[in-house]
Amino acid sequence: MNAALLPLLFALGLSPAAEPEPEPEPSIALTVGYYGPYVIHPGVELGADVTIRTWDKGADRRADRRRGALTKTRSVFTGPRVAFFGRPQNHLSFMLGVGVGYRTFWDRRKVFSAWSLGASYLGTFQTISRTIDLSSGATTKRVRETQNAFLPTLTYSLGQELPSGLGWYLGLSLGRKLSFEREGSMFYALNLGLLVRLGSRSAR
Amino acid sequence: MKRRELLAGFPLLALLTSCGEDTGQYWDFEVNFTGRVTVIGAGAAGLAAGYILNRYGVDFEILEASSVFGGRVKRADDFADFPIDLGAEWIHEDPSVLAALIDDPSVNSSIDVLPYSPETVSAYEKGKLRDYNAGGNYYSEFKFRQTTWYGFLERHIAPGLLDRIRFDRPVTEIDSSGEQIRLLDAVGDTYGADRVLVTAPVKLLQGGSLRFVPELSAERLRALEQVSVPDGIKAFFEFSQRFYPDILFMTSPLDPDATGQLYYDAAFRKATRRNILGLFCVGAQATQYTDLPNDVAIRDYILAELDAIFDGQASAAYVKHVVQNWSKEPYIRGAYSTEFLGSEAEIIAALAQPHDRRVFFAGEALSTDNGATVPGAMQSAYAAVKTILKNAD
Repeated sequence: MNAALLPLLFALGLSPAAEPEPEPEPSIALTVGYYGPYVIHPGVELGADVTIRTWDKGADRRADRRRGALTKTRSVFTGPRVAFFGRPQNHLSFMLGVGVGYRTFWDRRKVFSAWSLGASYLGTFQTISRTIDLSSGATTKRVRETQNAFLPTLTYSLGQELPSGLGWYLGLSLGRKLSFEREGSMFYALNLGLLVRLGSRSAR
Repeated sequence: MKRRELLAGFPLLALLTSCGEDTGQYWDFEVNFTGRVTVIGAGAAGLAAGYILNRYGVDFEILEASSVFGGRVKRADDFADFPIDLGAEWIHEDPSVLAALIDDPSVNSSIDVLPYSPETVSAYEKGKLRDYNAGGNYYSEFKFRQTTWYGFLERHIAPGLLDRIRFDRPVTEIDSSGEQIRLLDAVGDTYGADRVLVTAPVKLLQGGSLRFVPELSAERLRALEQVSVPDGIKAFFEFSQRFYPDILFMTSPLDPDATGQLYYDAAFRKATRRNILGLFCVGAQATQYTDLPNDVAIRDYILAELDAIFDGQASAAYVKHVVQNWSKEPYIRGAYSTEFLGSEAEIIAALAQPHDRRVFFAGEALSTDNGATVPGAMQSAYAAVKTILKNAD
């Protein structure tokens, strides 16, 4: 196990001593969706989730447990994220980062929830001036400055993933924008999108 | 959200400020009027009226009570290395409205504006400074980058009007009982007119500074009393060091009862290295400043307030200040219309009706869509002048 993951696993309440089931091949899901910082700033995100460990667990319901049914799957995943978003007439932003998370999947309903930690670079092209043509009202020039920030986030997601490998997710990210040039500020974003598991693997 | 709503509360949630009033087509109508128009007041509305009257070649004059034009649009030229708006400052609309207000396709000029989206936002609540930086993402506004509202009027609206403005002429009486309207000013001079456009602040009308013959209708007087024009003040301080955020609300920005009381970095995105902090206060909270006896007392009060918030840094870094107490301006006497005690549309409709068929009204309080703004004041004047000119004598 990668030693760098130990603190994360402790933080997520996992026992590093838990014995993972063998994972014969990595499972990769691609995600695409709306990425809305502060909910209202429109954007798009692309990402990939690579499942790196999976544990099958017993059922939540007593009846299922009696039958010995395995209806819940837990997994750890990681993957890159890229997002573009902006605020009309104000700024455009670019985010590139990686995340690592912990997901619980319920087989019967094909739904999942996940917690993930992300670390991203956030570049913002802030419009600091516009020139207005007084004969027409049109904007003739925009002056932009670049702002850079490190953005750690914690994301909670809910979603559904069908055996066909298609699914959807809805997430809320909370974080802190640690600007290199300015004071930091709270960051939150709404994520809503689709996922496609490559190779139509079972939804784990 | 309209500016009046913004200033009545939820300052941070003004992100969705929108503009709606049609600012074009003021010029596309047939002029049937051939008489003389007298405009009372050379503020934004009065200048806008003169601008369109001048464009149509109508005989007119503007009687201004004070010795300068602008009204609640005022500039401090030499306080910092950039001009400062002592009155109206934010554009409050998409900046394309500036072109619409000029409405001249042949004008060969441009103007720089800056998106005003503060990045460091704080609120002083119950004795503590709280961070609302994320709130800046919901605030959408524009300001002039190198000029001011006064500069805009001076360069684009006022030229061509200066010889039509008669300064230091506080009109005290408008008598429309005769064939020609007779105006009387405070020094006893009289003026004749066929139409009169009153752009004086509502506060002056409420205070009875203008006497009308025949008297204003009971409906109009009632409507006037239903317009709330509270105290208002702006002050600017230069400090040797910056210790304040981009914007500091003196109450919770999420408090629905919050009023317009805030400090802000007046140099935000301006081409300067100087630290200029502005105070903007309109409403009940403004009275604590405006009732102080003089500018020095106001300065001391503000420094003490800032010292309490920032651990004495304000007094330590103080360089100089300038105060604009709008409540004490003799021909202004307050801020602007912030609230209507009844149906806003009905009150404005009552106020906008001509008095005795020949005396018209315009100003920020009479704008339905852009009330309490410079564009709103100008648009209401354009609409009133259009009504005057379309109708025959």
